[in-house]
Order: sequence, then structure tokens, then C-alpha cells
Amino acid sequence: MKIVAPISNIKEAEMLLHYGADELYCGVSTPEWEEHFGGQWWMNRRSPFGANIITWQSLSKIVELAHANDVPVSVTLNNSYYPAGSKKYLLRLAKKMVSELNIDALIVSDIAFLILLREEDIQTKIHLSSVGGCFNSCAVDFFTSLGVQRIILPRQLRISEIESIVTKKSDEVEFEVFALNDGCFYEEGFCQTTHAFDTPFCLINWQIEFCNHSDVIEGMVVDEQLKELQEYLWYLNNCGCTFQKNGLPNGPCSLCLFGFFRDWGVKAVKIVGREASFYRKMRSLQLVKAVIDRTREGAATDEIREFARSLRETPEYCEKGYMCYFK
Amino acid sequence: MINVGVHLRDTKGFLQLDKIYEDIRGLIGSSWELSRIYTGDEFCANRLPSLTELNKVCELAEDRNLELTFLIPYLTDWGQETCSRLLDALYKKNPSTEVVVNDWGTLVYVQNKYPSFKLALGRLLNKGFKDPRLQNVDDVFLLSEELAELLNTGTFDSVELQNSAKVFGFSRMERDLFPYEKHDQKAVSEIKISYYFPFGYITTGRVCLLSSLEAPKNRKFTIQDRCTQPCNKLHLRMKSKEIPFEIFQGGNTVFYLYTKPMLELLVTRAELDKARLVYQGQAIP
Repeated sequence: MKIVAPISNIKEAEMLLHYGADELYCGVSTPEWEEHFGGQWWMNRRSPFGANIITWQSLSKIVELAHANDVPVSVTLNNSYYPAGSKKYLLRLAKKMVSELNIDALIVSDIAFLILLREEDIQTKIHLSSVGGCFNSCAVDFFTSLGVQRIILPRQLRISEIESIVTKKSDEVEFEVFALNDGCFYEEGFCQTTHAFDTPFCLINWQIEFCNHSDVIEGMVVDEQLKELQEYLWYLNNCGCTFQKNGLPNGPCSLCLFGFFRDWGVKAVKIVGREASFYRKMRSLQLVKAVIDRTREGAATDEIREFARSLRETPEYCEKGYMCYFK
Repeated sequence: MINVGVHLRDTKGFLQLDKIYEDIRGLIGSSWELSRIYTGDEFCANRLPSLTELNKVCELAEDRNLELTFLIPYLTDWGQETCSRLLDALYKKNPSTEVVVNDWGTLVYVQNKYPSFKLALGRLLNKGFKDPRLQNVDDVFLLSEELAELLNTGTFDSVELQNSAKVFGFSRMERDLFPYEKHDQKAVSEIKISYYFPFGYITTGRVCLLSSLEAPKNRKFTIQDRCTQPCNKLHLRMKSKEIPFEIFQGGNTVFYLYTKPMLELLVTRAELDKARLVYQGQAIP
């Protein structure tokens, strides 16, 4: 199993390679895109400021350094929809990245863009973003027929559902799953909101009115339920973007499940957070690497789980269950 | 005359048809006729009908000379197996039943197992810009052609997808109106279209806020195989100063209510594109 780590700045490259990233993924943003969309809409699911590579030179250096260390680099163009004009632009950009920089893969979710890349026979690997929504084994057949070679499974699958898909299809396609950071309240593939506004939609402080058909809400203390919701959202948001006392990051993870992923044939585990700080990226990678090393050594699944939990200095967070991916 | 379908989640809806007709007249006037019943669910596998319920809905639709469309949500492997009991029954009754799928894998599944079903793409497959927080919309349209295109179009407008309809095996696309779309030109594509009203969906997911309200502590905010369907009794109205739309949560899905101009656009589109309209007022109890 490989560790796929996010990079948004050339300054992070050496650190990520040093601490064991097997693959890197990044987003880009260009002046032409900003000119046409004026900050109202991003080229991918994260902000151009802080989460994306914004110069060709930086991207070029990152790829050069990564390739010198046999580390592939994927570029994410993972909006769920690109209108016609922007698709043409992105196709040109993708071709340029492939021909001039030899980037190793594009991470895509827009079905029309996927079809277009196939028609244009772009000479790089295509990974289906989690935003593309592969929820079942038949979807694997669909996406591989469009040239997809790796599928990043959605957050909102349960572990049994991942097992069902991966064990049936790991001979036909590579699978990647989320390992650490950044939960999502909704299924990202069906979320038609943008992160470009100040607050993510799921974190808006709504004034919620319960409209009950019979004007009676039985046995439900509404304020308590809403507090529970806020607590859940806190966990999803990397426990309020906090760290343990030893500096390892708090936040959603699937570390306990690495043994199962290994045994079923998952190819890669992904650290989320292109927008994260240098420090968070480094500590995230260290945490994931520690667990993956045990996994690669052949440790039993329950041993891996115990080890992962032992690294968490806040066992109460694990006990709560809100921090677990794929539950 | 505009063709209208009505989404009924169960047989009780048939008893409310008079009220539903009145609601529809209030929204889009009187130049329409009911041609079809929709049943099933787009967003949640737990809301699919039982086999008994589905059979009753089929009978009641047939008694009234109404065609039937079956809505399928996005499904896991297990979800497809479970749903197959319902699909088997529909296939036996009428192998040309219209079926709406909301994930690409279920499209493949249905095609393989029930090759003569008429396939429609559901609105979860039509991605676009639906964030209801956009301010100064008219100014945004003027900023660039690309932004205007973003606000006016979605996946189903893509030439690449439309050209793949035969290969992928679908003949209809089901969608809602995006909150900011303005254009009132005839659709270029020849593929049949349905528009849902009076709500569009914004976002959805398998972790259901409403079912979590009643779940025991250790099952809150998890994906659940079954629930008591509190969404049948309860919905949430969500308010925020920055949002001009009325926003609701029904079940696991957040919706925006169409404004009056959107309803007018809906009727224009239905007339121009000979589109079907699908009334889903019962989505919010």
C-alpha cells in the first residue's frame, strides 16, 4: 500500500519525500482561470490560495524532484462539473502538463470531462476522484470502460461496502481510500455547494426550525440534538483543527483499518488536506507512515488497530466514534 | 398541454391527489395533465417502498390509467441486491417500465439485469452550481461568459454526455432548475427531459441528520441500514441571513424552494422543450 500525500508548495516537497510519501497529489490554479472566474469558482475543490500550485515553475520543480525519487505526481481536476468553455481550457492545460512535465495522473470526477479525456486519448493515467461517486462494483465496470485506472472510494461507504467492492475488483483497477483528515457531512460527490464562500455549507450556523407534521416531537430534546450535531461537525473538521500534545494531528482517520485494506488489495491510502499547513502535512504523514510500516511488516489486523489507537493520545476521541472514516 | 408526473412515496398519496392537483395549479397554472406516477426515492435507500407497497402503487396507478416511473437512489452492492426484489416485480409487471438511476453503477446493473427497462438519469447525476449563497447574481452573470455558463448549465448540458446517451443506454434526463439559471432558449439536445418542482436539491448524503435525531448515542451520524423514517413526520427549515432562498432539509437532503420567477421559467422550459414536470411537494411532509 502506498501513501498518497498532498502538496501545495515546492517548500513541502523535500519534507514529504523525506518522511515517506510514496505518491504526491496536487491541484493547480492559473492566472487565466482566475481571470475568467474571478475567485467565484475554483479549478478544483480547494482554494487557489494555499491549497494549489500557482506557478508553472513550482509545478515543474515538484514533478522533477518527485520523479528523481521515483515518486509519481497526480494533478487534481476534480470539480464535479466543468462548463464547455472551461473543459476546453482544462484539456489544453492537461495536455501541456502531460507532454511538458510528464505528470503521472489526472484526478477527475466530471463525467463529461472523463469522456473528453478518453476521446482525446490523453497519455496519462486517469484516477477517479471520490467526488466521482463509485458506490458499487458495477460502477467500477462503468468507470474502467472510460479509461479510469484508479478509483478513490467515497468517504460515505462503510467498511463492509469497501470490502465488497475491493475484493471483487482489485484485479481490474487500483483502489485508493482516505486515511486521514477532513471529514465531510454530506456525500461530496452529490454536494453542489462550493468551498469558495467563507464557510463550508455544512458548517453554516443555521437557525434550525423543526417542522413537525403533528406539531409534537416526542422524546426528543431538540437543543441536545443540535449540540450533538455541532460536536460531530467539530470532529469532521479535524477536531477543530487541533493536534495532540505530541504534535500528531487530530481528525478523521481510517488508520485502524489498514490491515483490512492491505488484505483486500487496496493500493493506496490518501492523506487529505492540500490546504493544510506544512506542519500538519508533516505530522499527518508521520502518523500514517508509522501505521503503514506496521501494515507492510505483515502485522495482524487487530494488532494494527491497537497500534493505531495507541498513537492517539486522545482515546476518548476514538471511543466517541465521530472520528472514524467508513463507519 | 404540459405533461406532469407526481411523486408519491406510498399509497396514501393517492388519497391526497385532489390536494396535490390544487397545489400544482397554484404553482404552474392549469395547462397541464397528470400522466404519470413516480414512486421510489432518489436520495435514500431506506425510503424505498416494500414490495407490498410497490405492488399496491402499481395497481392504483394502473386503475387510473397512469404510467409509472420508479426512482432508485444511489446504491451499494448490497443496496442493489435488496432493490432487485422490487425491480424483479416491476420487470414482471411491465418490462418497459421507466426507471430513474442516480449512480452510474446502478445504470450498468439495471441494464445488465433488466435490459428492456427505459432508463433515465436522475438528478443526482446532473452536477452544477447550486450553492444558495451567491450574492449579486446579476453582476456575477456579467463578470464573464464562463461564469454565466456555469450558472446556467450542468452535466446534462454537456455535449459529451448527450452524445453518449445511446452507448450508455439512457433516453431521458431528470433534473431540477438550478437556482440561478436564466436562459429560456430551447434545449439543443433531443434527449427527453423532466424537471422536478417545487424544490431543487442542494446536497445530500448517507449520514442522515433526521434519522440521527432518534438514533441511540452510538449510532448517531453513522450510515444506517434502516431507520424509523422520521422524515415522514418531520422536516427542518434552515434559516441563515445570507441566503435568499427558503431552505429545507427533508430526510438526508437539503432543498431550496423555487421562487416565483423560477416557476415561470419552469413553465417556459416545459413548453419549449416539451419537458415533463415532476411534482414532488410531498417530499417535505
